[in-house]
Amino acid sequence: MNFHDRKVIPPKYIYLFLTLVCIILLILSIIFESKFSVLKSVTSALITPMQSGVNTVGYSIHNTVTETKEKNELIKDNKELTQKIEEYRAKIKEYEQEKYELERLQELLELKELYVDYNTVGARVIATDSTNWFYTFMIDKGTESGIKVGCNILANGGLAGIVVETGKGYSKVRSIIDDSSNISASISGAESLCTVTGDISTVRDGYIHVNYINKADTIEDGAEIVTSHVSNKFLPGLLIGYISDVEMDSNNLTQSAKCIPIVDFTNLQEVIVILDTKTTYRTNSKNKNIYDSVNTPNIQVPEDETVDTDEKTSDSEEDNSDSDSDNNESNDRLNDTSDNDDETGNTDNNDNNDNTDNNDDAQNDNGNNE
Amino acid sequence: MKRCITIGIIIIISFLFQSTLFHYMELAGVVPNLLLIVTMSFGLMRGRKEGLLVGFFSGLLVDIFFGSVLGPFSFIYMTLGYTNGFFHRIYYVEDVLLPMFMITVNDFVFNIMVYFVYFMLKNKLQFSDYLYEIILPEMIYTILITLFFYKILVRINLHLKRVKEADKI
Repeated sequence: MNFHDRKVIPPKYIYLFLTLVCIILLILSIIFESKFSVLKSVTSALITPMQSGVNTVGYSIHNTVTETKEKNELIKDNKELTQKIEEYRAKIKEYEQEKYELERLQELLELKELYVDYNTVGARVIATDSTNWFYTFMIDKGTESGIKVGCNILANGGLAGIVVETGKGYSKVRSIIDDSSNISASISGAESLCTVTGDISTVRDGYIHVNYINKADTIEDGAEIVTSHVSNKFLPGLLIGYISDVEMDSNNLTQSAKCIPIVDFTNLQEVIVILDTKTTYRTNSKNKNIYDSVNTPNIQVPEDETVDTDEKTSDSEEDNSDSDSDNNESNDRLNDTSDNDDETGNTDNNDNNDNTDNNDDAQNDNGNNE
Repeated sequence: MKRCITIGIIIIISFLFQSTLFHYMELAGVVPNLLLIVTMSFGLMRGRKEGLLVGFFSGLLVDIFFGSVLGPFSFIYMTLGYTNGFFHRIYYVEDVLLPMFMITVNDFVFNIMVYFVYFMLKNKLQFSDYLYEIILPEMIYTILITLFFYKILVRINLHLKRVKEADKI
């Protein structure tokens, strides 16, 4: 073989040289994160269309295989569901009545929340992580659809993940079950906050972890876990999953539980991207104002409302100031719960903070500067 | 030159299949590590230099797409490609056992390294969980795929060699 006859640099040196290159790349990509994103978008622009194409083939094969299997299931489901619809119709009537009552009471309390509707866009999953160790995936929409780093991703009616990188025609999403994902959440029926942590080793059994639940809370299995209002990455009130197996931690200060995510990650094909991010979106809801007063002292008037007449904006400002006073009350309530924590031990609360910090750090690592 | 382009295309196709098509054919929730098969095959068939170069670029692709920083996967793939190159001297075209053995060891080492860098240092110490959930299934699936994929790569390599000899004459 003439390959060996040629006078060439010994592989040993090439190996050492490339090892150095690896180390330099590693350091450079940490320091100049924004510059390297250009490289990433160039390669992505080349590869993503191909991934999209190959994925379409895989998708169609997959569909024909599962179609017949699903058909029988669908017929069965259809029967059950039509029965259920009747049940639910009756229930809706009931709820509607209750809603009227609630609205009336809320108006009395001047706490009426504006209806929260986000701008969304649908996207298709085109590629999943090539190693089995992580759970990030690519979707086929990017900056041209208005997707930004930090956009929340929904699927099956629940939170699926967050955009950590975006370019023309693609976005990279880190899912909530990924090992580096930490989400500040709250549990329905309990006042305190907790943290939902992804874990690749347990997700195959269908659950991820919920940590740092206040030990004073009694939580029933099946309670809903939603994103909390203090997270600065996730919009409040997005459903993450249902809780089960609440246990006291060995430190006797906090509780842990399992969270069964709503999203079926084994077969994720279409997702919904919420174009509003937490940093840009403002409502007059009381929860939002808690967040505002804690993290951003300057309350900005929502963009939508600046378009409206001046009267409207002044109204909304009044609303803000009104709800600020409510907000103080709720803050007091929050402080009360944290006082409880302080009595039991500082570590709990600090841990919680640390964790959200970690979350942010991880996002900064992964994502780009906004 | 022809060789470079061909190998480049092989790497990209493997990466595409690994990240898209094989997710529809998951066994036990894992996908086979096609890039590792390519790295191992060229390391074995062509020696240390080509093994480490193929590994480096395979890893770089993974880093660019799915890593938050560049470098770790490039290094892991490159090291494996380089190490495989040492076994070039006992390589025969017809031999099937050696690549099978090599891919088993390779995949195991690869996953251990990933576990060490990304998980153990993050204080995730339940190694047995990861072993049974990820490492073993991936090893078995990768070995299965190697049976077919390796043969194709050997064919391509032989063809490239013939083309080159023909050019020389």
